[in-house]
Formats: sequence, structure tokens, C-alpha cells
Amino acid sequence: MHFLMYDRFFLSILEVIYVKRDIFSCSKRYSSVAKKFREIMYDENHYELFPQIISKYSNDLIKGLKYSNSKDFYLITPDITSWIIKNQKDFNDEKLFYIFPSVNNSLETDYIFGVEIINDENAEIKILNILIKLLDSLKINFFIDISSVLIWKNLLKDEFSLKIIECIQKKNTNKLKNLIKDEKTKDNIISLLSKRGKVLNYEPFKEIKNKINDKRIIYDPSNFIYNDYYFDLIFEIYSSDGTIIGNGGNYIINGNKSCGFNLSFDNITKIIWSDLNEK
Amino acid sequence: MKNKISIAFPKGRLLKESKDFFEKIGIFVKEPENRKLYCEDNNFKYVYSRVSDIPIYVENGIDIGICGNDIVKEKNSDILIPLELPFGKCRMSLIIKKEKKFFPEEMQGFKIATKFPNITENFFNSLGIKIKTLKLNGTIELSAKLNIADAIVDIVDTGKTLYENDLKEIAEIEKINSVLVINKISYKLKHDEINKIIKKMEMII
Repeated sequence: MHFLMYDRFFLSILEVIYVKRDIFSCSKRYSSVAKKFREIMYDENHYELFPQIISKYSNDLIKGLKYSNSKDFYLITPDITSWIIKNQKDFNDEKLFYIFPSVNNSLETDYIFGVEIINDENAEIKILNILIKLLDSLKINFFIDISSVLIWKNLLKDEFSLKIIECIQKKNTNKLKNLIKDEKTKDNIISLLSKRGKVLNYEPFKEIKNKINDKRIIYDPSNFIYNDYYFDLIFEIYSSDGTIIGNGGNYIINGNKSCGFNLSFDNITKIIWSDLNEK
Repeated sequence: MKNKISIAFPKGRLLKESKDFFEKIGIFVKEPENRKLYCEDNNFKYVYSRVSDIPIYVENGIDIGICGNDIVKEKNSDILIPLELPFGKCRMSLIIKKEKKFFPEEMQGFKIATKFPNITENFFNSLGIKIKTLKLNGTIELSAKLNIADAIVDIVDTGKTLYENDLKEIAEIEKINSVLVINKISYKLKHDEINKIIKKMEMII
């Protein structure tokens, strides 16, 4: 009896020590996903980009951890798309991907897997096809919501403000009714907020529907992800268990159409391993 | 089981009105028996929690919840707030001792006790005033009464507690009311069912 109790006691201690010391288990999970993603991306003729970890602070760069060394201000791990847009000066076509750490001001960390196609008229279609291929390779049950920043910008015009954007994002119709002065704009906004699942008569949506007929793509013009550089289409990628996996959208770089997305390694591995545990 | 809509109800002051409100749209809310933490019927799962935890539950997986807009703002939760509900109305105010005479603009360096440090700091930041907040979890009035804090920021309903403790309001910081909060992804995955609930609620507000 005593022996059994001691045995259990030591086992529980060993378990704690084992969990605490296993600094490799997370990397092993990331590595198995990264290997699959890299194979697919090389097949798609994308090269791997190794971006700078630290950049001088600029208003054009978003996200990242702010840092100062008493001479200058810097951003550690800024958003890579904003970094590319700020620094890309040539008009080359580029097809790239990257695996990059992400640290924010709350010191939350993650690894980001990003894909960009720069200067390509069909960038959105190609990007969506790659995205589907990557997530299918992991057998993740996912959805992609597609919306348009441009529809919202055209609708809001003079009423465009961060306060109104926040209300749209939170679907707070009560507050919107008080904030928006123009009655017609007000009606149009409220109406647009109920258009989830509708392709509308919007050419970029129709083009995607024609070229990629995938039921996991959901047109949701009511979804408004505001970001300084997104030009029109925006994507939000999430799993059927309710985890946001990533997001993306198209943008203009040196006057050329480009598109990209990024995925969270933390969230992807969480989904895969919780699925395995359930099985 | 997975497709049932989960609803988080706030224990305490808002519970009865929240349940009554759901009953008005035809959802008859069950309460858990014995010491169980949740219960369910054919369509819904009912969860009961402290009001201050509701935005956290909803942000992380519960489909729908009811709480005050003060808590959503304080926690800065990434959730949808499609409706302001017609109950739980009160205000968040800046309060000092009755015999003191101050304007908020004169409170540079003051110690302010509150359950809502983020809202309090934002309010004073907007005035260009730097203050120090003391985060307390209950009986905030006591800290002003005992001179532990120079002022307090707290929820005021009728003002009776303030009156009885020789305190007075000097500024209203926020109008408070209860709100319907929804998990962002649930809104996508269970869109039709959740939208039906919102529409029914809109009709009785």
C-alpha cells in the first residue's frame, strides 16, 4: 500500500519535471506543420523570405513590439506585409513565404506563417488556392470569410472614422444609428450588416465564386477588418471549432496589385492536437 | 450537443431581468439543479457566471451573454455587441467626499480607487490629467470614506449609498446599460440561429 502511494507520488513529480523540461515539444509540433507548408510552397515556386527582425519605427509599420535604445525608436517583429510595402522599391513580381516570430506590446508571442504574391493581376485567386491547399494538407476543418474594405470605404465616405469602424466591427447598430448623420448612409450600413452569405453584385466576389467554387468560402460583406494597407478584399480564416487561424487581403504596392495572408502557428497546432486528442 | 447555443447569464442584480427578457422572446431559461454549474434543454445551454467574467467567457467560446457595457469596455473584449438592452441602466461616476470641492481637471496626481482602472485612466487621459488608480474589487466607497483614496470611480444607481456615506458625484464618466454580447466566430458559425434571437430582441426593445 505504502509502496503504491510513494510510487504514485514520485510519478506525479516526474510528470511535472518532464512537462517543465520538455522545451522541444512545441517546436516538434511547429516543425511538422512547417515542413508540410514549406514543401507545398516550394512546389508553388515561392521562395522563403527572411525578413529583418527589428526595423526603425515608422508610422507605416504596424504591430510588433516597440523598443527604444535612447537614440532611436524601433519595432521588433513588425507586421511583414507592412514591412514589405514600406521597403519594396522595385516593380518585380515576387512570390514568397515566410515563417516569422511575432511579439506584440503585451509580450504575447507566436510564429506566423505568411504568403505573399506581389505584382500579379490574379493574386487573390492564386492566394486563396494556396491557402485552401495548405489547410487541406493538415486536414483542418476551416472556413474563409471574404469581405471588402472598399465597399465599406465607398459607403462611409465622409463618415469614415475609427469610432464608426469600431461600431461596424462590433455590429453595434444602436450606436451606429446615433453616430451616423446621413439617413441614407445609415440605412445602407444597417442593410450591409445583414448581408452575410450574399455575393452581392460585386465583381471581385463574383470572380472568386466563378474561379474557386469552394463551399468553405463564405462571402460576408458585413465583416470589416480595418487595416491601413488593405485595398479591397479581406479574408478571415477560422476553424469549425471557433478558432481564428489567420487573415489576409489584397493591397497595392508601387501601384501594383498584390495579395497575401498569414496564419498563426499557435492556433493551427492547437487545432490539430486537440483534434488528435478527441480521436 | 455541439450545435446548441450557449448563453451566459450574469449572477446577481441583472439575472432576473435577463431571464425575463429572454422569456419575452420565447426562450424559457433553465437554472441548474444542486451545485451544477450549467444546465441545458433541447436547444440551449445555460451558463451562470459572475457578471465581470461574462465578456471573457463569450470571447473564448460561449455563444451569447448579457452583461453591462462598462465591463466590456473595461476588459476591451473582442466580442460583438449587437444590442443595447432596456435594463440595467445606471451610470459610472467620479465621486468625492461631500465636504471636498474639486473638479476632475484639478485632480493631477490623485489616487483614485475603482473596479474600472482602464476606464478611469482613459477618462483622465482625455483631460490630460495623470492620476494613480487603486484597483479594488468591492466596497469602493470605503476607500474614500477612510481617506485611502482621494476619489473613487464607481457605478451609481439611485445614489442612496453615496448619500448615506457622505459622498457626492462630481462627474458622469459613462452611461451604463446592459448589452447583448456575442462571440465573433459563433456569429459566423451559428449565424441563422443567433440572428433570429437578435431580430426577436430588436422587436421588443
